[in-house]
Amino acid sequence: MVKRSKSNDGTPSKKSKPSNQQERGELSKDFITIQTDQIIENLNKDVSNIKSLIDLYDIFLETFQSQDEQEDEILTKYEDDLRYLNVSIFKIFSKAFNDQLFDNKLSKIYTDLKKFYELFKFNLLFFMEIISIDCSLIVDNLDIYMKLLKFENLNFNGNQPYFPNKSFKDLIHTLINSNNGEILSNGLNSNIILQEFLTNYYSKYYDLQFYFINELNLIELNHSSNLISKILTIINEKTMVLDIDQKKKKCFLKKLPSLVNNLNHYKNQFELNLLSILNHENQSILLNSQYKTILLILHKRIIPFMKTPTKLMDFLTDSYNLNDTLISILSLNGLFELIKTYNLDYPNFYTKLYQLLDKNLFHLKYRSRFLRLTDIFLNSTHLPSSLIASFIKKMARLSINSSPSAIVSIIPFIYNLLKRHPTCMILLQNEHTDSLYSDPYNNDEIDPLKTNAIESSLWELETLQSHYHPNVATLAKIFSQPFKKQSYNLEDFLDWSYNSLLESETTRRLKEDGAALEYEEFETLLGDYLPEWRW
Amino acid sequence: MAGSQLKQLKAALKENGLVGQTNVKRKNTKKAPSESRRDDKQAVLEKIREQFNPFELKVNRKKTDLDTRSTKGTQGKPGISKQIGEDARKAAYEAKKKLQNKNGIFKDRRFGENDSSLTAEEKMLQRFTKERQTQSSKRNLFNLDDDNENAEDDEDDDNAFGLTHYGKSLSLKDDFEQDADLQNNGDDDDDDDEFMKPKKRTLEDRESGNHEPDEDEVIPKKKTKAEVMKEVIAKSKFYKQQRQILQEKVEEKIFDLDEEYDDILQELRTVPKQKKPLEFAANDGINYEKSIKELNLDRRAAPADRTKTDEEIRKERADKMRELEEARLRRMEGLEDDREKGPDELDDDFWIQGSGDEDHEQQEQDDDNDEDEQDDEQDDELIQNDDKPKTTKSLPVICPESHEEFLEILSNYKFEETLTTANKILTSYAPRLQIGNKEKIGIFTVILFQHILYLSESDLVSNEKFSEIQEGLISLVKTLSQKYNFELTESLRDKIEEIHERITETLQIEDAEEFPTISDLTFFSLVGILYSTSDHYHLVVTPTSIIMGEALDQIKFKSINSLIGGIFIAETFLKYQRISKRYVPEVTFFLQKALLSFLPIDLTDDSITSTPDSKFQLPKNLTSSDSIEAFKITDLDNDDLNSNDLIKSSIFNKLISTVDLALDTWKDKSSLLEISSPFIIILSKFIEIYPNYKPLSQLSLKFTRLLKFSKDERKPLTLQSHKKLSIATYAPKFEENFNPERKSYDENRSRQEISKMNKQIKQERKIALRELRKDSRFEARQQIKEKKEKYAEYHSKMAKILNTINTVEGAEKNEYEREKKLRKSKK
Repeated sequence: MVKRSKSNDGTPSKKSKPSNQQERGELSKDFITIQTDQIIENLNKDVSNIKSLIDLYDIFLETFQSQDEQEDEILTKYEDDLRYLNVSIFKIFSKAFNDQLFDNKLSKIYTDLKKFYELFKFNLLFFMEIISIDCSLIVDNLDIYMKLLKFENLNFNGNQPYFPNKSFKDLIHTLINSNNGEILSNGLNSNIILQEFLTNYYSKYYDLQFYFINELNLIELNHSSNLISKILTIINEKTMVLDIDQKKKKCFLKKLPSLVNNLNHYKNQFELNLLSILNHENQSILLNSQYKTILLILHKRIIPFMKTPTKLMDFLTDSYNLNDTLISILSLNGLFELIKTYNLDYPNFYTKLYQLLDKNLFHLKYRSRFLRLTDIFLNSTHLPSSLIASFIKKMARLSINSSPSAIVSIIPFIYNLLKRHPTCMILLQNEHTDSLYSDPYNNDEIDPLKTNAIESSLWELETLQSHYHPNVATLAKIFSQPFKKQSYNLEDFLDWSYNSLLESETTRRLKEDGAALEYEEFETLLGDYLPEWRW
Repeated sequence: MAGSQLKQLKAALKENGLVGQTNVKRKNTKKAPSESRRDDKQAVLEKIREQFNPFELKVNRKKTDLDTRSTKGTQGKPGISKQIGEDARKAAYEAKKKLQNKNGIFKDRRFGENDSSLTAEEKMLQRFTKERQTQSSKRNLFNLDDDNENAEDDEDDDNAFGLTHYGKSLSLKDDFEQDADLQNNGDDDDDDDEFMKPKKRTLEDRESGNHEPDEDEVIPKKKTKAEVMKEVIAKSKFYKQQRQILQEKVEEKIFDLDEEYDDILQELRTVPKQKKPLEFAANDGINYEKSIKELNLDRRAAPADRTKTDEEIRKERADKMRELEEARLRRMEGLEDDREKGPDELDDDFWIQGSGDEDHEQQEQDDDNDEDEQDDEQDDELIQNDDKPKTTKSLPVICPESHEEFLEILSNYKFEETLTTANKILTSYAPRLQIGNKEKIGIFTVILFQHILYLSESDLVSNEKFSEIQEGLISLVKTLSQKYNFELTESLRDKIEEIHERITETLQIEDAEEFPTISDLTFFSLVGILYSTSDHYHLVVTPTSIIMGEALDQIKFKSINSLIGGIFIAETFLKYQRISKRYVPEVTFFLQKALLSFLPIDLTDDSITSTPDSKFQLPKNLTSSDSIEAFKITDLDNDDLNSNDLIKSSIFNKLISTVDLALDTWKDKSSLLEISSPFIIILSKFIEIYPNYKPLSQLSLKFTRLLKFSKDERKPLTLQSHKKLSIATYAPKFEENFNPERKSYDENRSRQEISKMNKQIKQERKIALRELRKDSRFEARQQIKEKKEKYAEYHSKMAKILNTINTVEGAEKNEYEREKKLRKSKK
């Protein structure tokens, strides 16, 4: 956490020397230009004048902290000048770096320069942290800071590989502490500096990706929803850490220590940080939306970057066992990843999966995700047919109260299951029964092996053959036709909605003679056609 | 056979019984009748001869003689066959040569004979013009003056080579001759005229069928000059006579007319006098003139259609209904989307409603032959036409082109007059009155439809006559929809999209109460009343069903108002399915939700698939008596519903009856048990709470009764009892006469045929070429031979001549020598 008071440690505070305030110049372009030109001329001899420039920041800060005016008003007033000031000071330091004034660490100039340099960096970050409204100033600050990092990398350690760890860590903390932006509905953050950092730097350069996780030490920080949202935003970004091709890994800095290629270190660090979020005592700071987002990106953005993904086992199992269908469905993906690659043995997996088939399932946005995974889970021909039959029967049962889009995805799903497990065909064709037959299926049974579904029949699907939507009805008729087709491509059926259904209808052309009319006559609309209604 | 050739011959002859004893009786002598024996003998002799001339026979020896089959072409007589060919060629050549330069060929040089592009008619025309051209050019060339002496000859030429029809020349004859012909046919007055005689004779010949008409024409008599002059004089005399006769006739006619003139004048003068007494007579009857006019004005009796008896009308209607029902059934099965009848075929009754009488009069104008009456009628019509604008002028109505314009028009009238105004527009813009009216009325139909939706939202709902007007407009639109189906359907489809947009808006934005509105509900029910909702696929009903389904499935029914909308939509949806009984999952989903939102306790069961969006409190003392009243659709906009217990209980009652309707609609579904199980659970809870509420217990009873049936009849599915398919066989095909050595084998029959044919063609071609070559070679040979002969002949001739010359010369020489000797000796 960068605090104003913290700066007192390394550098002399301006507040400790109130006498300096009279000497302070004015925050105007003319003054800055004159000062900058002077300093650059005498850079080799005297650098103390830089202080007069840096002090100019205080003028702004005082107004800002006094809170006499609105934040945006102050900004519009000072923004241009501040930017000019930033650029000017940056010019001075870039000249200093180019003149290799930082090389000789014993000289007086070095100590002074270093002092002012730290002060300048601090101011840059401080502005980024406190300004909460979106403005170009803080984005420019970020750009300048990143350029300074480049200089540091080249100059601070001679010709030896060097990464400006401390400066970068400060930046990370600034990003995390920045007041700008808010938590979005999907649990991510809209912080403008963070977004800028992601698009311009993080997503492009491998070393920044690596060191971001390396320097991020969440255990030290105070956890909050805001922090988690920012971390998630970064994690959600695509990285090239796992890229095998070294050439693709573009680096922001030139001379880097060999640590940068140590994947294990990265994974360790990543795991540490993530688990610190997931295992935090105060679970309430992890918002529900963030929880969902974590589960959503788990299999792609988290599991591959962990050293021991099995550590997620408890987290996933707990999520799966939660009585929230949505969370369970979302955790399925990660769980599947663990089962597949890390040999996780999940007891009663299918029982739990069967329980997920409840009334909410087919009204959820993520039902296609569930169906895709379930299709994989039920793919094995070694599964007992009573289990498959239970799934089929349950889905059919749910379909009679579902929307056409859900039905459209269920029908090919059941078809594929029946095709793969021919023993379940008895659900459609059962001739051997006595006259006193009654449906043995138990809808309330939790265990798919005990539902007796295999002795039942899919009357629900037969009813759907008379569905009001002509295409759904026609699709349902596949069950009374010979099973000649090998399988349906599920993807074609998963993403239908009322919108797309209607769209395919409205694009149809009307025939010349119009549409078929009702020939039956009704005396009145309300009363005769619809009895017991009146205007 | 042994021995010399002679011995062998003898033996052979003897064996065949040709030499030696001929009268030896053999056992099998009755072989053939005696007549043919000689021929036999000849044949036998021939055979023996052949046997003894082995050089003519050529045998193709086989390398292996395995099979016993006799193969063709092993033996042949190349010499003989060659000779035969040679002989045939020679004969042909001789024949050809014989005819060379002697035979005429017929060449058809008629115009256009070989031109297929010309029709027979055109051909004739072309030939005729060609003929005329040649004639005229001939005349122009050689005839300096038109009427010369050669006229007769020319005519003859024409007749000989010109076109004829029934033996008569088509070319225009000399006018004089034609006249003469006519005269000949008409009367025999001019028999004496000499120059007419030949012509007449030819005519007579033709008539009598004597076929020597050309005799005179082909060999025309050469006329002397005197004769010609005589002819000219006769001609002029004849013309003069003709003119005189004509003049006489004219004069006679003028004289006759002059004589009759007075009579005519007299008659003309008497006409008005005759009319007067008539008028006087008319005065006796009262308003005779008037009644005459009236009678004239009366519509002429026309053969009217026989008035149909009630029975016939009923039958006709039943037939039509049956036809429509059949078409509907076919559509319901999804067998056809096409409509059986076009909208124009439907009855025209609509127009009779408003302006019946006028139309009838205009329609049934008679066109009579009597001019007087027609005139009168026209006058009458004029009067009518004068009248009509007067009536319309007093209340001018303009057909609106948009709903705004219609509202503007309506602002001049009271609300109660809406229906009459609409009818007025429809009558004054009836399509038959003017071109373009049909389009206008089409637009007006759409406007009326929009107006119905507009009215349903307006404040006029409170008006006493509102429902009457609204229903009147609806029935108007329903009648119009038959004729302006296309326009109406298009606008409805646009409306569907608009409603869908509002639904999505309501779903996305919280508290956006864009849907359902009263006009939406009106729209849904209107679709049901206008269109055939039982169709398997329908351009309007299917998308409407989709948005209704979406509304029931997706909309959160948080307020009691929106719940009313939901119930209305659910009931309309069920009405759509009253015939086809299709299953609508959204309706069951919604009904569960609606019922649960009235249930005071939380109920969770695995079979219940929906959860209430909000809870509504029902009055504690729910009884059946207070909620029988019909339910108002306009309550949707009523704000203080939540506090009104009466309305809430009536909504609940409505809901129960909707569930009842759903049960009725789907009672035959195979999964009725599954569909109704959540309802039974919910209903039983309700009954626990409201044990005295009758509709609930009635519905519950109905459920249990139907479910009992359903349970008893339940049988496992047998959807896959298809006809067994035979297993595909892979037995090899056995082919008779298959020869593996034949490379030309092809299993494809048709390809095989083709290759066979190709081979034959190739062979035939080869043979034909060989024959041709042989022919040409033979010809060349023959020509050389002929040439040689010719030369030989020539040389021998020359030699002969030389010889004679030499002989003559020799004789002369000798003579000379002798003379010389003689002279010498004389010396």
